[in-house]
Amino acid sequence: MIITKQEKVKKLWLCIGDIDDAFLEEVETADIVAEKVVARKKIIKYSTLAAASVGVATTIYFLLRSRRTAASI
Amino acid sequence: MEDHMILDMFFARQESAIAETRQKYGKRLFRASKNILHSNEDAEECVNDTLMKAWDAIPPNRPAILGAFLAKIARNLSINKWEAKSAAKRGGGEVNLQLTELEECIEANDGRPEKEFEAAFVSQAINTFLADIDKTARVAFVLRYFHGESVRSISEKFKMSESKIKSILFRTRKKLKTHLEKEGVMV
Repeated sequence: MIITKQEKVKKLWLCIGDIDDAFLEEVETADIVAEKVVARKKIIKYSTLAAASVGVATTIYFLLRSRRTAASI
Repeated sequence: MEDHMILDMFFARQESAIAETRQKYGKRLFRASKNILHSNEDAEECVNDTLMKAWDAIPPNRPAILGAFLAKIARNLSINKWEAKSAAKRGGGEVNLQLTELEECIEANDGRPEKEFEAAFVSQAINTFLADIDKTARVAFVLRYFHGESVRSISEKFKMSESKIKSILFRTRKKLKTHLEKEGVMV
């Protein structure tokens, strides 16, 4: 049987109606926003830790450098 | 109320099963139906018909996922009603937008008539495709092309911009086209 492109598109749309129930259930239960929030919180947590580490390292570096400078004087 | 309890009520032929189903799934079914029909009255009618169909089908059927079972009935009924309505008057709306978007998944053929494809084969191909893509794209695709949600509504659900959702859907449609071609569906 020969069908037009429009009919074909509509058939594809109708076929999407036969997708697995599991995918429909996933939509009901999917917590995309929550997952994104958790991911964002993780990023914030690790970036804060990274920034703090850099801060501590810089402070130690300058402290040591100023001690060395003072000793040389 | 849990689905298995509602199903037990259906099997015991207790009419309260319909009320409980409406309570739990009514809004969701109404929304899905309205996304296709754009009419409160028609959507309400579809929800009632869905519940009646479920009453007739359960038993003997005992759907593993009641929500999905009802969603499919509601979608089919809404499409039938939409077809009857659009036969009388061809209009715009979300459905035509979806169909226009889905055209991208069909191989261009210069407007020539094409061979019909096997529906079951396509459904299987769509299922394997959905299983392979990432969760965000899959949920967005199902919301848009199964439930007929607007891009704005999906973007609100995902807390993402509309352009981001459009881009996810665009990429997913392109991947679907490639997948269908690979599976030999649209040749």
